[in-house]
Amino acid sequence: MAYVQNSATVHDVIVVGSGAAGGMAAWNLTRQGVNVLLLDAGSKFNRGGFWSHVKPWQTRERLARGQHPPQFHLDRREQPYETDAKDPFDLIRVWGRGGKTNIWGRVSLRYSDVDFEGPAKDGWEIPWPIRYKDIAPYYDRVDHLIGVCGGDDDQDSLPGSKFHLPPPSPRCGERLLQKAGRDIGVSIVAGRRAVLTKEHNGRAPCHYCGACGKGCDIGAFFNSSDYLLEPAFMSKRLEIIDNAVAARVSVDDNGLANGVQYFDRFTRAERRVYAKRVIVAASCVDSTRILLNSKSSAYPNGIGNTSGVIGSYLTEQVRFHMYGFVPELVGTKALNDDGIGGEHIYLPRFNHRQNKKHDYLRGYGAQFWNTGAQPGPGFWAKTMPGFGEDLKKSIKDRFPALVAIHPYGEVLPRKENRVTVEGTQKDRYGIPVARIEYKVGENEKKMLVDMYDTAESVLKAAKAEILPFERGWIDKYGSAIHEHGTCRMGADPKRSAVNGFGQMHDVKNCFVVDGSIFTTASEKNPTLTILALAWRATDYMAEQIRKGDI
Amino acid sequence: MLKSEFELLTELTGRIIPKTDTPGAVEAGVAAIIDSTLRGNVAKTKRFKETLAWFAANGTNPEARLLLLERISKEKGTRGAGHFALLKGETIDVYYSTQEGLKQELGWNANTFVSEFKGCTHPEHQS
Repeated sequence: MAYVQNSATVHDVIVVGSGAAGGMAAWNLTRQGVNVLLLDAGSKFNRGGFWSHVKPWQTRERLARGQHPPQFHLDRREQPYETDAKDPFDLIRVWGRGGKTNIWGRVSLRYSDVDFEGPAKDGWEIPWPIRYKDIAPYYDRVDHLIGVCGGDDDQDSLPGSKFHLPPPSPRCGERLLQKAGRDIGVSIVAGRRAVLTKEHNGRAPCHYCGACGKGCDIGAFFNSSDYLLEPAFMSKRLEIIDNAVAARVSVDDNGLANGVQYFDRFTRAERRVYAKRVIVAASCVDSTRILLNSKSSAYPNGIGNTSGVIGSYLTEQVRFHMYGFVPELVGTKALNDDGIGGEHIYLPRFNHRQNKKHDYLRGYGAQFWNTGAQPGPGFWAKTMPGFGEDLKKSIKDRFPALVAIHPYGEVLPRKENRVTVEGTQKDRYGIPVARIEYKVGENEKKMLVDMYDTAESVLKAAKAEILPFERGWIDKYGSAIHEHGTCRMGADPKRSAVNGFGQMHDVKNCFVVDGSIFTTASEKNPTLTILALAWRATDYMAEQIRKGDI
Repeated sequence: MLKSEFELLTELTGRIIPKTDTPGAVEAGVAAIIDSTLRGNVAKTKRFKETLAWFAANGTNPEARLLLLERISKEKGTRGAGHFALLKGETIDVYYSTQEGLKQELGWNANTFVSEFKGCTHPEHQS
């Protein structure tokens, strides 16, 4: 029988996960006097070791010398998951301090009541238990805390913020796309991104090196480690256990959460820690895996899963990519188009304002990353015909002129899109891994027709030479890295797992605060809303603690 | 990769991206970089060896291979078109990741520190 180390300490709160959700929970609780133990499946990334300023040719030379940058992405061989061989789901995970916020896209879009009221209006699945007015004060606080740049060009589908930092100037191609949008009545606004365009809260601003995907060496975009966990440490109320791979939430005889079973990532030793309350924030799929594996006599289908909804209604967004070359920039001198990395503009959802009846529910927006003179031109350059001097010239001429549009459409929550653990293989710790079953449906296929029409219309209005595309093609499932919905919030305990504060209907001292609690996915990137919901949830939790209710 | 294979690869990559007023694939060392990517990659090595053997068999001298390239670059769905696509794709991917291709040829001068990002400053694009 293996020896299990049990900690004698009973913590105020255990938080599982250190990304946007877990970091926010730890920060907000510790500053309110609550002692927090946080379990992180990895450890802190070495900021000095980021390859943010390593040029493509230097990358190859370094790799040849046997050097490697920090490995953000978790290797699937270390922690497997099962997925359909024909329709595979790409699950991107980052184990380590800050999780995916180390490398996230930084797109920070507020949900609006177009999103929150959508299900109540169209009747597809359950309504959100909250509205924009409930979360708006938290969006303000998050914007002010982390620093979000953006415009004052808000719309009914994209609320603005009085705390926006100045937006970066658009690149040439982006200005031309904005003009093209205006010409056809499609509004393309300043992007909203969690990048510091000026000094903010004592943090240095972006120096526009454009290599954000390799991690920011000065922390000029929000990441949970620097912005939340380090300040939380200053309170002396935060303890973090590194390389702690959470497996199950344990419950006491009364069916209340009382701790977490985890395994050391490297020694594989099993350990148990105890607390009066537990917050699960391990990212949608991993949180769901943990909850479903947390079986007990009180919760034979997993903790808090009396409703049976945990695991079901997995949703994200459907997306594709369309590229072209704008004639005004063909043959011009390439500029430094790095900016804040990714796009400086955004196309908010507008289909709900169109004077036509759609044959699908919900909507879509669009992003524009890769626009301008960007490294890695091979994907389009090899589509140019021929070889030799003519090929070389055609590539050089088009290099500054690339424009891109990436529409994102909401995928409806469906019961059959789900995460399960029944009968799956065991991981290296002997715990069942997640199986992901996921497909888009007819609604998304109908919406894609509209999405393709819009993308093509914008590029045509810009008179772009559009690269060949296959209408109806969609990016691989999971590619947006926006998993939601498998522990959804709602007012009805029979059809939802948590209330509007992320508190389990069944287990009042167990909260879930990551993307899994979203009732719907919308067309928007979720991190800003995850931060706002986690802040709101832990304000509520702290109040419940003060009252002695949990 | 055999010496003869490497020499053929060097010639062909130079045909795909030749030297002009900026370095071409030969000057950028594209063949050596491709060769380095084959080490330990059995499947890719096999494909490249097949492609090079096909070029050697169907074009016995540089002039013949130039004519061969001109022909297969216009074909679709043939074996030759497949070999051309492999060679061209790899040459492009590698060349435009070298200092010669990305910086000297395309003029990319980014991934650096700037205190201000001015974006588009062309008056004609501001409206």
